[in-house]
Amino acid sequence: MTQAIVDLEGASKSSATLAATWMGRFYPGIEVELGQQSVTIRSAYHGAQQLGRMWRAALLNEQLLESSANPRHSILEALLK
Amino acid sequence: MNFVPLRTRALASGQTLHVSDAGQFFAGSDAFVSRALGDQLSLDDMAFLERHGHSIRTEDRLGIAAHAYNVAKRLTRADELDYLILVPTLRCNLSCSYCQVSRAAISHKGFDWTEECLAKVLHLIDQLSTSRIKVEFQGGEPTLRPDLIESVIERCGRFDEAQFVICTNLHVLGAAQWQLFDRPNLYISTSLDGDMVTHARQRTGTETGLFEANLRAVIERYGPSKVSALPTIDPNDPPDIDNVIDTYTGLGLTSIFLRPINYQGFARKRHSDSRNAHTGWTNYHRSFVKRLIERNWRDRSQVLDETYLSICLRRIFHPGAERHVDLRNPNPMAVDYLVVDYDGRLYPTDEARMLSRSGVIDLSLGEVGQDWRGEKWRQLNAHATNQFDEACSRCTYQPFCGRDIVDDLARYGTLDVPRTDTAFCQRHLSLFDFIFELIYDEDPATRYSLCRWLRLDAETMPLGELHS
Repeated sequence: MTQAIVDLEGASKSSATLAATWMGRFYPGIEVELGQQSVTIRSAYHGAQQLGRMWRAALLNEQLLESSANPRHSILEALLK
Repeated sequence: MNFVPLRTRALASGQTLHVSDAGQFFAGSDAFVSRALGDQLSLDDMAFLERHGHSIRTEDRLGIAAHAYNVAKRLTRADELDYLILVPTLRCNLSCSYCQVSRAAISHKGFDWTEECLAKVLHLIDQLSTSRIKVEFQGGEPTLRPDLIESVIERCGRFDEAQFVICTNLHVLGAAQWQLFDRPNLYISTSLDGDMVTHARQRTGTETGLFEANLRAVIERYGPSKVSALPTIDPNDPPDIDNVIDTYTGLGLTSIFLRPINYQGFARKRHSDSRNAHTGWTNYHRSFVKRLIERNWRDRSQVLDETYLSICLRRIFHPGAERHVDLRNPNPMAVDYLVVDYDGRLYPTDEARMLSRSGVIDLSLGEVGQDWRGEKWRQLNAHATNQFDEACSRCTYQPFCGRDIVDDLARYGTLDVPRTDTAFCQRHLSLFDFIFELIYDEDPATRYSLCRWLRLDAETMPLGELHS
């Protein structure tokens, strides 16, 4: 079992929480544990470097979703009404 | 302020895939992801994102409109009913171990359309406002009733374009069947479970010789473009990959649509272990596609493809060009296509018919001759999109993916299962991961096959943008 510990480095609590939740669902065979300052990721299938990349992708995904929520919603609403 | 409609996912190759809501994509380096997370994008980064439409100034109304247009191109437009799946008989001369419907024995009475039912089907066809129609005859074994098929085909004479597909086990080939098959706008679809040994074990037993002879006869008479054969694969006991490919190419068939056993109908009772065969299927499918890539590169005289992978690939690169009803979003039910069963019952999909027949849930929408767009139809369609689900809205592959509520109902008896827990999601997440691994594979053999599957003129070319 590989373990990666990644510093949260100023990531917002809400984005980190969502990233931790969804990372475990989108990447099979991953366990994610969110702490106050860091996140711990474990997997039997991936190396530590790849786990770190997965975390950063999951965190960026949440940040992008949060920052673009309003225009996204408006566009979809206009298209589907 | 900028609007950045991207979603991100780490690829096994070490890059991070970025896909916009409109389905445009690039692979970014880990350094780029770190800069984006730290709000430290360089001028080059920002110029790259703006140039590719991934970052749009919120006051740029034209940019927003262009983005919205590209998002819209990804959405299914289902206007009018122009695709019918008709089941003139439920009777069949075979009893395959994973037949997807509760078939009836060939000698049983009451499992064919009645005269009254046929009249209602023909009236339904008369009412259609479309100028083109596609009709697929399913069963049972539809060729047991060539007279019913002829009646439907004749009634479709008024359309500007009409295409017919008969899904047949090719065991009944008399004068009436040949007369049907001779129609230039009629195509033959059959099952061939890999190699003939597997086919015999799973389907035809001692009659496999007859099936093989008939399959060869129709291909010889019409050429392979009129005939498609589909293998149903047991992921727990799959046939040898080269044997499957050799069997198909030996018949002149170059497209192979691999299908895992569908967890419905009789298959539900006889192959319950297929419910959780995801890993076995994924490994087999990947190995199969890689073998096709090797063989295409080695022998350029023909292009072999796995049909479903090609469909997914075209959904990435050719939005709106693909009308495969098992992978689209939204996936409207009983709008542009409709199933009429042997007893005149209407269903939104063929899988819904099987599900109803196996007693899991009644998804019938009424009787032919009646308006089917009632409360059940409205409820089904209310859930027929991946657009607002909390998992799908986070998923990088949402613009390319679809929604299959009938599959969810078949497996879980409810639509309330978290999307990432469903077999549909897991299968497609894994499949799109694989496709993007191929897209970013620099091996010329991989690029050669991808270019052929996308029908590009170039011999090989890179298909994915990179940003470091």
